[in-house]
Order: sequence, then structure tokens, then C-alpha cells
Amino acid sequence: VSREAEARLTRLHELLAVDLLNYFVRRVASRDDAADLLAETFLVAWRHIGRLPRDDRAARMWMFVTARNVHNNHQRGIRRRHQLADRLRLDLASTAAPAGVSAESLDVRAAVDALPEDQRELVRLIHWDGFTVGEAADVVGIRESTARGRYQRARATLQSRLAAGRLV
Amino acid sequence: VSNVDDLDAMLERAAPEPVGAGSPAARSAWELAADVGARRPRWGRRWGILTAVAGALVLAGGATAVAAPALFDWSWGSADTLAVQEFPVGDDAAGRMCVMALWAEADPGASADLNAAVEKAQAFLHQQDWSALDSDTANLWVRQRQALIADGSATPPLLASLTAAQVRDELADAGLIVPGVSVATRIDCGDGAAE
Repeated sequence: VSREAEARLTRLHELLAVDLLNYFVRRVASRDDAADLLAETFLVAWRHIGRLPRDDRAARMWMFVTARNVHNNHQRGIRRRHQLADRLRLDLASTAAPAGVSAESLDVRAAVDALPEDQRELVRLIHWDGFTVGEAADVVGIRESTARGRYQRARATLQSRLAAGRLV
Repeated sequence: VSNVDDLDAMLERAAPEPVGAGSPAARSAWELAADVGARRPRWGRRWGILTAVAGALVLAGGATAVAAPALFDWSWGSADTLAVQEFPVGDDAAGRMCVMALWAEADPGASADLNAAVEKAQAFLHQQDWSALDSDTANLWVRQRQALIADGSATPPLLASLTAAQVRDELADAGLIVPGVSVATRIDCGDGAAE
């Protein structure tokens, strides 16, 4: 592994630390878990450094793919608690999630949560993490055309469910 | 059209509150990134050695478990007590044999009692004969692995997670999974990288 690659990964992690943290904060119930998942993502990336893409955009996508894999492992019950994440865990705990979430937002989140997993993740990536459909397809590891179809189905389902609740 | 706009706006509004860039948590996240980079173990060579050893054993006779505690140090907090079992988890898309390492560990700051529980779990991992892991076709996890393989959707991480779940069940059945003790896994597909 070249020193250049190590320097690039260090910069990439500094650049994406907050975005990756928010990726997890938006997906896990416990902010403690978000701290550990961020630490795990950095660790896994260092282990994979030989695969770090040279292109900056691709490298950014690669980090989110790594984050997604770490999150998937977490969903399967693989959990690790990292000593390195202790301070972040404390800071996240002291930055409690705001209490004033509107009823509408709770309904929308519930509707998103009720989507099939492959559609739910696309909606989150596009609307919550700011990815385009093409980028979201890269993160999920599917063709863009497939992503577009799933995303449209997700939107139709959300429209239908939220309309039933007279939200749209 | 207005409905489409409404849906977009509602989805944006429903996003869970992010951690702000100027918050203490954001600063800790940056520090974490720097800490991990600065303190990372040099895994590649160690992992390559492990792969060679495990691969040789698999090729030599289908052995499914071998202890190699000295090769692992990525669980820094418990490196000196780490015990590992490896399980082959099938071929990945490139046709390489993937190996999963599985071990028991305690949460950081574990009490002496908890460390003893981890040692018991590790001893169990070492003492059990895992060579027949795939033979119990009534086992839920075995059936799921077989189904994935049969329909062509098996991937090393999926197979490994199902294998880990099976082993974790056996540890639980033996009363060795107690609060504060967890089972962790890593997967290597023979190129020095792992998940």
C-alpha cells in the first residue's frame, strides 16, 4: 500500500466523517451504535485500502458502500464496540435527537420503514443522504435502470400510503 | 405534479435530524477518523499469512476450524486474549475460497467475571468439532445456506453470517452467550482484504 493511498484515505475519512456518521444516525435506533459503526467503517476501509479507487468520486462512493456493508452486518446482528468510539458515543449521547418531530414526519418515516428493504434504502440514499439515483445504485450495487424502477415503485407505494392517510 | 412535489418535500422534512458540522459529535467523528488512521494495525501481511495457512488446511482435507490467535490484532482492546476459529464459507464470485474468522469478545472495560465468560466461550470454540457444520440439514441456518447456494444468490458475507449465527446458537445453547459477551466475525476472500 502506497503512502499516497494512505494519505488519500486519511483525507477521505476526514472529509466524509460527518456524512458517514449521519448515514448511520439516520439508520440505527441507538446513537451508541452509530459511533461504533462509524469506527468499524473506518477500520474496514483501512483493511481494504488496496481497493481504494483512484478517482475521488469513486472513492467517496466506495466509502458509502463500505458503510452500507457495515450497516448490513450490524443488521445481521454482528456488533462490535470500539474503544476508539467512546468519545463520539458520549458526544452523541449528549446531543440527543430533537424531541419535536412532527406527526407528519413520523408518518412518512413509518411509510418509508414499511417499504421493502431494497426500495427503502434507495429512498433513504436519495432523499436523506443526497445521492442521485445513479449514485444510489452504485452504493447499493445494482444497475441504474434497476434502481430507477425500484425507486419509482417506492414512490408509488409512498404516494398511495400517505394519500390514504391524507398527507399528500 | 403537486403531489410529487409534496412527496419530495415531505421526504426531505422527515429525514432524521443530522449531526451538525459544528457539533461536538462532528469534532469527535473527525478525531475518530484521525485516530483510526494513526493507530491502525498493519493488517495486510498478517491477513495474507492467515489466508495462506487456512487455505492450505482447507485444501489439505476439508478441515473447517483452526486456531490462529497470534495472527489477529485488529480487535485492539482484547488482542492478547483473542482466540479465533476459521471456517471456509464458500467461493466468492472470483472463484477464491473465502475464510471467516469468528471469535468471542467482551465489551471494553469488562469485569474479571466477563473476561472469564469470554474465555469459556473461546475455549468452547476451540474444543468443538466444527467439521460437520453443514451436515445437520434440519438446522435452520444450514437450510438457509443451502437455499442460497441452490438459487445462486449466495455470497461470502451471507454464507458467513449464517454460519456465524449457527455457531452463535451453539454457544447460546451451551449457556456461553451472556450479557457483555459477543461473537464477532471477519471474512477474507484471499486478497488481503476483509469485511
